[in-house]
Amino acid sequence: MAWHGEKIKFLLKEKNLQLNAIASTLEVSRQAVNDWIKGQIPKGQHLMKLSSLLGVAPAFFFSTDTNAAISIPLHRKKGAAKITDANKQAAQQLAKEYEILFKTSEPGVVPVLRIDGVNKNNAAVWAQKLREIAGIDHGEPIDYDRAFTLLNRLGIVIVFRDFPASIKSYAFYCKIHDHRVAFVNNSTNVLDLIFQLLHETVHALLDERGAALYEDEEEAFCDAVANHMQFPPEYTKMVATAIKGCSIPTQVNKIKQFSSEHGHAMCGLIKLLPGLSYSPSLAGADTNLKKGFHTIGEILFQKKDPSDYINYLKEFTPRFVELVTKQVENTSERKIGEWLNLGNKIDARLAIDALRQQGKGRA
Amino acid sequence: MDILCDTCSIIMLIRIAPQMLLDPAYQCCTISEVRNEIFQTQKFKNKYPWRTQFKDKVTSFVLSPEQRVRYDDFLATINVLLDNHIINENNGRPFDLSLIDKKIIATALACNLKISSADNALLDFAEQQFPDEFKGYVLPLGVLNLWLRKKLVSWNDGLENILKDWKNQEEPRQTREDKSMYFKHTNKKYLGS
Repeated sequence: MAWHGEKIKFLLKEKNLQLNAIASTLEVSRQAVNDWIKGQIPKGQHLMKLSSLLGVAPAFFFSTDTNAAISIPLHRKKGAAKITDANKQAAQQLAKEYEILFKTSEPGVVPVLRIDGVNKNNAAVWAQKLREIAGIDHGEPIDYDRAFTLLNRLGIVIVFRDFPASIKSYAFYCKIHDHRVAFVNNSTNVLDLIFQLLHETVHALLDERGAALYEDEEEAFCDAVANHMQFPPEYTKMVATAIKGCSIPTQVNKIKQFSSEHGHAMCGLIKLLPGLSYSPSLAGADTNLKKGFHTIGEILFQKKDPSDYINYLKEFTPRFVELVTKQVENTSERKIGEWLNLGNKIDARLAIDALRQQGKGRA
Repeated sequence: MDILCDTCSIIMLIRIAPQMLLDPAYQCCTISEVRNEIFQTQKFKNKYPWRTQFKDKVTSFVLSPEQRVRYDDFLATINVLLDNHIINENNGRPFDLSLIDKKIIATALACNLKISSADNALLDFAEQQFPDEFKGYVLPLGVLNLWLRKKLVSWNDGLENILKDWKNQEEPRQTREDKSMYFKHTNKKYLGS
């Protein structure tokens, strides 16, 4: 608990108010106000009146422990969207909704990546190390299974959510009570998903190291590592060979085909291919390609069946399902529904039954 | 209007008195988030398919500018308390209320309303943190008793069938006092738990 009752004393002095007068206005005893100063949190009704009387927000009396418990280093922004403080606050507010889930559980031991130097030049070394952790020892692009495996092995809990419009991101990473957590926007197209997961993975590892990079610099580094992981040299070389000497429309079609088969957008790959640049027409082709693919939210809810939904979640983010299952008996149906992002799509009660069932299965 | 109804109360009562949220004599109201939950949540679609007949009867009220100011103050206080994991004195666990729960409490406090809900955590929070401001709660059977007393509703087979449905649907437990009052009003034993 992060109550700072001594701030009352400070405000009384600053506003030249007497403790007795405050007690009388709030219709409490002088002792009660003294208790608050010494550390007892007032009831909500007194906190509200006290804040109003002293001209501060109720949050003023609490330290920033909550914010420290939830770090939001950076965002993977959508297109040209600007990342503002309001945007970060909205993300932090979303993360707060999950705080209890993580606070009541130990994060366990998670691997830490030990590589010296965080700069674009050694992004390939990071990528190679991460590909090894994901269990890839050949030059294929990382697929969905391997991407989820990587995050699970690194102890990163994925939370799939519909983001409010105020969070203009595909995903964001934060640490909640020492748990590594990646929030993923359900509106993310599956062709963009792997890259976002890899990008947030790098944020998670940088956060662990306490690396103090500037935001743009860290974003660029995360992008570079994710690019190297998703598009290893062997793969880009293979694509470059396949399109060599073809007309532009044929090149675009071939790149589309590679992208579809390997579950990635065209954008990242094109930027790595010699002689090609990401032009508006290629961006259009990329957009058209994505139209043929679902968002991750559409896939999770495709059958609108509670057991299927929980099974999908368990497959993609087993630790998250485990944490929610632990809370089933102590938390309201509404709150569980919020955590599972059920909205109006699945009956929370049936989803809770499915959680209980899979919990039994595990036991 | 005196009572802010949560989803379960409206679901249990709307068939008894379709005008409950329209006619001030019934003393009930609700907020838009509750209305959305009733008509958009999968649970209610499956369990209460009849509820769509009452779509135009479930209306929500709008806060006045003065109430809005108070509402914002209450909501900010509720949020900061929950963010700091205030403990429920009744079970020793931190409160963890949903967004709708928070809005129900803030609205009830801002507008001096009782709450009709079967959500214990929501009611515990309001009672423990705002003991002087919170006007208390009344369970759905208590609301029905109020209507019976005011003769807005009288006992008949239709009412009895709806109460049988409460039992079949395993709706939340009602208080002994409300059951006894129901017996006084109707001379019939309350069927549910």
